[in-house]
Amino acid sequence: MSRLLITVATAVTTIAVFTLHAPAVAHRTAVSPFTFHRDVVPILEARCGRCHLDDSVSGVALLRYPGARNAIWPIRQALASGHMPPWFAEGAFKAPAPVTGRELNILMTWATGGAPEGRPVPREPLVPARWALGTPDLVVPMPVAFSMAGNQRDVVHDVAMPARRIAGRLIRAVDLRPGTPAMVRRAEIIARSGGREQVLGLWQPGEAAAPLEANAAFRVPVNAAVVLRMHYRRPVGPAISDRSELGVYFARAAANPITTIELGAAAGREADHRVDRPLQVVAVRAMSGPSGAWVRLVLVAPDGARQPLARLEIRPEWNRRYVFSKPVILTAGSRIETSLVPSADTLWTSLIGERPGSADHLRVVLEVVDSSN
Amino acid sequence: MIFAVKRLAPAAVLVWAAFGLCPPLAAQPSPHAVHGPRYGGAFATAASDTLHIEALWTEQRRLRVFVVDASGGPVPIDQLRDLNALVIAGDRESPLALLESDGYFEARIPTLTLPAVITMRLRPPAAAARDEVTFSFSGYTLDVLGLASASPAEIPGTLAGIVAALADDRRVVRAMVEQSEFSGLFALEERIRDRVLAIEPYLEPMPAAVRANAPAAIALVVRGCWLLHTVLDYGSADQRDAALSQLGEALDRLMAAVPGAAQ
Repeated sequence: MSRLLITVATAVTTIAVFTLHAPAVAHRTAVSPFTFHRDVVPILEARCGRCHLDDSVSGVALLRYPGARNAIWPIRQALASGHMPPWFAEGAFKAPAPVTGRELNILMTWATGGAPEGRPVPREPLVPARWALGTPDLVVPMPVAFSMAGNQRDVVHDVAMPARRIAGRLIRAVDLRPGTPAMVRRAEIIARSGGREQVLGLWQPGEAAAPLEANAAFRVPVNAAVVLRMHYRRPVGPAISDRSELGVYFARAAANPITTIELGAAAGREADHRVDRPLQVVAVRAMSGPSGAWVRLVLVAPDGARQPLARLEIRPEWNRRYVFSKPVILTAGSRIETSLVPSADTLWTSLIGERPGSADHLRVVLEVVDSSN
Repeated sequence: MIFAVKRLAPAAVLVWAAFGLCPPLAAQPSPHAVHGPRYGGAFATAASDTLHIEALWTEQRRLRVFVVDASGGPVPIDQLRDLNALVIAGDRESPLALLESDGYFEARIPTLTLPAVITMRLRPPAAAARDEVTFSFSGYTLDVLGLASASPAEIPGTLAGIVAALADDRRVVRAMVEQSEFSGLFALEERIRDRVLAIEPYLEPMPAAVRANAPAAIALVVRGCWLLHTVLDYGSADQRDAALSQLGEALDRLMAAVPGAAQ
């Protein structure tokens, strides 16, 4: 009897051991629980929809399932490497709302986990804002359309704009409305005078013009020519043409005129710029430098106190102007320390299939207003 | 180790291959760009090369089978359900059960001893032919990614507990880099991701400075986890090391951004 009990107990224990051994969990993202229409589209519309529309210059339409499904590998690369959304700066800037950790997790889980479509959800079509800062004071269309055909792929084209109503004025912001969004990759709005060029604005798809603080404005010289430097990229297909419009927002007569400070540094070395009068920094832009490298700007007060000003990653295709949320005060006698950190980390470049840039000349521009008056 | 795949009909094909490492990551992985085991198991192709199969024979005498598409991506769950799969060991035939929540198939064969020869029969729904894949295991599959030992991430019920758990994870990352010991990476990155996302609900009553800085730090950790995941899927050892360092730095930054962080 006791032998029978022992046998039964052993059998029960054996069965229990095999039965109760819970299956392990690993690599749970085999199939995404998130679906395109229910979970992914709302995030794409909010974070990517300004650029990745149908017929946009990005060439990657993400708001419809077939386009997004075909782009799951670029999505993985771009999100994991931090290449998208294209914001390559750290500092107290006016910035678009970033992708949150939870949103990033949903997008990556979906792209990694089989990209299920799910059931369509009725949704209003996304309509981009016509002018981000409201109706401009002046809208100037390009004098003639620019056409691309044949083998043309990337073209930089300077357009001389009628400047009669702009020259001699103070301008608080400029914006661009592309005539044919599918071919306008980016644009620089420039005032050219006496052999010098002053950048009034940098435009790229999806970027809303940000108003400057400190009542700052550009003074366009009386004899200036206004140039739209258009960077066109022709999509695959027939000939295409563009006639974009420039929007201009004038400032009040009492606005503070903007001047610029140019900074540069060699890789691995620090460079100093001494401030000889009180200034307020309203914006910064990295205009050139080795692709993938970082520029670190540190403000050193006369008493030696150090304050990080900005950290910018150089992405020549994504030159943009970073506008400070509040002007940064520079006292006379303070210094701006500029250092260039070369891209030792080749992770993002290998992920997106680009090579780190070589020794292009570093050029960082601070836009400042004089606060000594 | 080698394995054989025999397609029974219409024509018998014998494919031999050696285990390999993931190729360097450069561009979108094309089908069959990645041929090799992800979990340290035995790798084969099946269903007219449209599927990649990896089989693990664990010490618990469980055959665990992962099925992915030709690019290494997951096969939708409904298609996995439709796969008619069973295994033959000795003279016994057992069904291969799909564990849907985990995305793999499993069969328990408690009587099978080493060396283990296991044949898997697989028939996709539309296929006229049935594939037969034979795996030969001279030892138990090494648990290179912590597959057998991984368990769902424990999420402590307090912010201090979560941060302390993440500090432990940070130490694990540091130890991995220092000792070049990388087992359990997929499980680790998933655990960190789950834990860091669990911080979000605690941010609402925090001081403004924390609410301003913590979301970016959380997003950076999540991105670091996915970067590691991506290079583990398709990258090289150098990229894995770089991604691990980046994840470690992101965790440091999170510790600085969230109060009560253990150092």
